[in-house]
Amino acid sequence: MSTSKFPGLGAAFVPPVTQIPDEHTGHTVQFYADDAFLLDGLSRFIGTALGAGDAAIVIATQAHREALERRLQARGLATAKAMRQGRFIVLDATETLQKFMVEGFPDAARFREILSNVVVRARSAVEQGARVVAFGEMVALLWEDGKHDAAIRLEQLWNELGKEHSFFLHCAYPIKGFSNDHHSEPFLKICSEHSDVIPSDSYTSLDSHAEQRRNIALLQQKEQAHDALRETKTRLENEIAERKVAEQKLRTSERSLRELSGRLLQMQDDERRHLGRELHDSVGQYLAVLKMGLEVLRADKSSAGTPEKQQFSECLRLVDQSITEVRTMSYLLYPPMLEEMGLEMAIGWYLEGFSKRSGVRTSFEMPQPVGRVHRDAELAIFRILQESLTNIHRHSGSPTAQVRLIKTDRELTIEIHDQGAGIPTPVLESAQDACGTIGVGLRGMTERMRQLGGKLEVISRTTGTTVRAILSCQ
Amino acid sequence: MRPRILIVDDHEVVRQGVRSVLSHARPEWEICGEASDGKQAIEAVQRLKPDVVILDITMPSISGLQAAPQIAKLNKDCRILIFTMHESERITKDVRAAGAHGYVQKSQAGRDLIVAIDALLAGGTFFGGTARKKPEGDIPPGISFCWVCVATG
Repeated sequence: MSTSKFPGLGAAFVPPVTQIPDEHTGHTVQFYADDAFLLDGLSRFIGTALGAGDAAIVIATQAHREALERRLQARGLATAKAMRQGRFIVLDATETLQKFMVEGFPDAARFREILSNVVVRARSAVEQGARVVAFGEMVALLWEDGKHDAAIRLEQLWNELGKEHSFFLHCAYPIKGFSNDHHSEPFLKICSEHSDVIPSDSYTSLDSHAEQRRNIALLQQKEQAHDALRETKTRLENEIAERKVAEQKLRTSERSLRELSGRLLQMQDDERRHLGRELHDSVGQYLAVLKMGLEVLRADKSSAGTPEKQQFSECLRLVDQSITEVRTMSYLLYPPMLEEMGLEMAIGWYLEGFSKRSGVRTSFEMPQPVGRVHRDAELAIFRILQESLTNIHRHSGSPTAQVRLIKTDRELTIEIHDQGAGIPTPVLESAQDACGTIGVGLRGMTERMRQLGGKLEVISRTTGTTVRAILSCQ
Repeated sequence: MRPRILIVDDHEVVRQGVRSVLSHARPEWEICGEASDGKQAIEAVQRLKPDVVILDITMPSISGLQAAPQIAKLNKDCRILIFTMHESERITKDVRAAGAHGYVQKSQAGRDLIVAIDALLAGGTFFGGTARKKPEGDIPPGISFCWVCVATG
């Protein structure tokens, strides 16, 4: 039965087909959400044909075939008899499909050979003037498989077969297979390969014309909303892309900031090394020789207790003071021992001087001899020691500090441990956070280690702090 | 025979200063030569056979502390006096470990240098501003160093 006529609606509105038409030829497609809806329509379609003495071909999945057969029998149709008569042909969709698929695509010649044979068989089983109707869902299987082009090609092959033989074909696809935006184009192609399209159950199951129009209006509204959603999506996608570019730029600038701070540290080291050496090797030596000269001169003067002698003693005292100042400064800037004799000696000497200056008692432990490692590694370890000891002296209030230098085959580790008040949490956190303004010393240490591929651990408790720097020696 | 002294320092002004101190206090000593780094020092000790070598630590090529063990090995009779800017209690240990017989800070040259060389020439040692005489009796020179270790250690 066709519901193509609605009195009083005028020519402008041709309502869509809601049921499979009972024509001799044609190629309809149906989209369905619910299997029961498909099977109801299908049993009506096939049942009407078989009841009227027409031939019916069903190429379906096993589940659909079995359900259809039950429904037909429930309608009182003798399906077994019709099969024996050869006017009810039931085929498995998967098996039939395999017969003409070549490398994932339907082969035109094989399709024609197999399916025209089936149609001819059905035709020969009925009287002249009777219809041959067919239901197929091989296209649905291809679609479900993601072979969209193959499904559309198969629809075209059916249409070509329709030019040679007279039959009415009905196809069905589950609507859930068309849930993506990029399905719109092949969906339209599928529709255009058919003489009529039956919308899915949400539309066709409505029984009044007014309800169907409301449904169309609703769908139009949904489409509008969908368009707006799509615009939002596009805008969001653009925003995400822009943000990604911005993030990339941020990363680049962070990297160059790191490189810059690395270069600054390097320059600072070079400068300190230069100044330290200059003070130690040049000014320090001159002062020492100056003192020697003054002492030689003093030995020549025999007049003890004269104003000249007192003046001399004052000069010598000033020279001594200058020598001490210069030595302290040069050691803080760059310990000459580090380059000449390596970490072990430099740390020992440095700790001795530090304890004298600060009053913090220190101990130095080295389970195995460390020997020499790369100059940059030695300097980094030494600077971390200096920085940690400065922190202990200035902030921790600890009366003691322990230093351990541990060398294994793979790693060189320095540990500086104190019994002070610990580092306040905000300072520790800001050392990890590039935006912080405090904890600069800690950040400097972290950066030094990062540049050499090592790591810095700071474990701070209220009972004391441990700074541990680990460098790979490979 | 006049005691022969070799002065090793990379600064000419220091070598001159030392010369001036020595020639004022002990004009009888012979400054047999000068060298300006560790390598030259080793070569000069072999060539000049000094009685005492005054050896700076911080120098180009190899340092005084690296040169000292080689000098001690090459010439057992040569007494080695480390003469340095470095000032540390630890240095005594490092200087001894290097095989040297004494150590004088450059800033204390006026007070210590002559006393130290006198002690070394007499077969003794000079560490931490104190001279120690060669032990009494007929002990071979190679053993004197061990005696010092025990006595001060």
